[in-house]
Amino acid sequence: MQQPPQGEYIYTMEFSGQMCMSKCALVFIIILFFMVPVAAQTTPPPWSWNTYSGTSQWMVTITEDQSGCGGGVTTTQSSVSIQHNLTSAVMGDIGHGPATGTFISGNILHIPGRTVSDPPGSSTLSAYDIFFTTDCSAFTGKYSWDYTGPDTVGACTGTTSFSGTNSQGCPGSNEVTPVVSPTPVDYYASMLAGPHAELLNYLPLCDERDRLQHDIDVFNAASNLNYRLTGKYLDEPPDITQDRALLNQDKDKIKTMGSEIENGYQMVLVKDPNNFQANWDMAQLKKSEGQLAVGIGYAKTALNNNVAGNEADAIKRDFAEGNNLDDYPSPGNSNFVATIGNNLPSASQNVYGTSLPQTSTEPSLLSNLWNFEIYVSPNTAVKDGNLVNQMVYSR
Amino acid sequence: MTAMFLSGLVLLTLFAGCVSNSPNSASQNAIVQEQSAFIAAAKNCTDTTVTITDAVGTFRYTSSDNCVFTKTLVRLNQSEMQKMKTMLEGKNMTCLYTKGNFDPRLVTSLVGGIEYCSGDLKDDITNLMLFT
Repeated sequence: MQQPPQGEYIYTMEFSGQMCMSKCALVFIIILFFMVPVAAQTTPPPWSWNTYSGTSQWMVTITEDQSGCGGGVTTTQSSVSIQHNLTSAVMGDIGHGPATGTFISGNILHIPGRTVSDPPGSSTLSAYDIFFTTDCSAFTGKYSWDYTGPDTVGACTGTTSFSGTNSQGCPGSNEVTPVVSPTPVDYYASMLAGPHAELLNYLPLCDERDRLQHDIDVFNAASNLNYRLTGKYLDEPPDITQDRALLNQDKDKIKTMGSEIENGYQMVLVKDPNNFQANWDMAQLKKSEGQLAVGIGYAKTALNNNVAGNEADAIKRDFAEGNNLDDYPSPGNSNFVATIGNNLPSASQNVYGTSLPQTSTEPSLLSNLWNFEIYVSPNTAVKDGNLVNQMVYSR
Repeated sequence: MTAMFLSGLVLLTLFAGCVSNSPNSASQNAIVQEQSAFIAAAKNCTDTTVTITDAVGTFRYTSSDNCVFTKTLVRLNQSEMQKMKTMLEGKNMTCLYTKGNFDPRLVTSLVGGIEYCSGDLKDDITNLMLFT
């Protein structure tokens, strides 16, 4: 039998291979044509948290290393929510109170450093980033903290690391739920949660500052008196020297915290200049900074805007209940209150930002309201929990 | 005619004298004098205590030789409602000042100068100022 020419055979073989390969490729392409859409349906596009407004819920594992403070390493779990407002967010408490941050990219939330009350002392937290996965299933972060306090621990350093998981997927990835626009109150309440929490840490620091200053002033007065009587100043006791050092520390912390808190409130005031809580809290903040005219301006804006009717009534009702009065006293039923009213100079026309008259030698209403305080009875629940909660702002 | 005129003048003078020497006016003068005396002592950081009753109630004012002023509401006027008395009576406030710089309004007014004081009395007064 004659063998076919080698070349022909080879040619035939090659042609057959190409035909096979073409068919295989076609099949592969057809398969891909069906697979890719299926794959697209089962793999969601990457998510960016900085485009979301709303609340996300997480199960967070928190590991706190207190070995530098004579303690151990503890791990706990808790349910934590995050309030999102596009490029900013407030993470719920994972050990040092709520934290407000800004997204520096789609899924990296930057929390700036801050100092928080950590009774009996305080802790200065480092800045840190929280990294979220693009499928919304997890996040992780870690920060260090420096504790200082009057207890036996004194000063020490530790770390807190945390990771959160979420089995719900990205917002809107499950059933389609009707989009309900948050009411303005809800919207601003979520923005105010962070700075308000910071303010509640800040105000006790101001109280401590004022107490230390008072103690130093009392000593100085006694020392000056001694000088007048004997020609000699008193020797400064160690606790006064310590008070001076602590006072300087507090002043530095207050300066840093104050500006961060104010930035948080200004984000709301830019959009809602008459927001009651933002104005009222800013009034407290400015008062604590000694800016009485500006503080009173915020207070009057809070009290005089249309929304304040209910809040003002709540404050009055709370004051009355806290002091066992039937009603908030008025000039009509109290000689004492009538006298207060008579003692107050006539109010100037003050609106937010208006300066006091430079030529006036009489204290204006603003000056006399310098020490406005709001007392909230611990036994009374104020109807709007974000408004004036059960904290005493007294000095 | 002249006699009638003179009689009227005498009566008018007597009447004016009676008015000027009425109990209210006399007591008001006494209050002012007591306040002035205390203010002068306080300015000098002199150790002194005085209790003065005015239209609001009875206040005890104390200044010390290290320039610390204390104002105590001892008793409110009888016309004040009982719950206000319960709330306010006995409360005080303390104010530090420097020699020669005592604010007289701390004595002559309920609200003047209290921004630099501390204490329950000050807290209540400022809360009552807020909506007045």
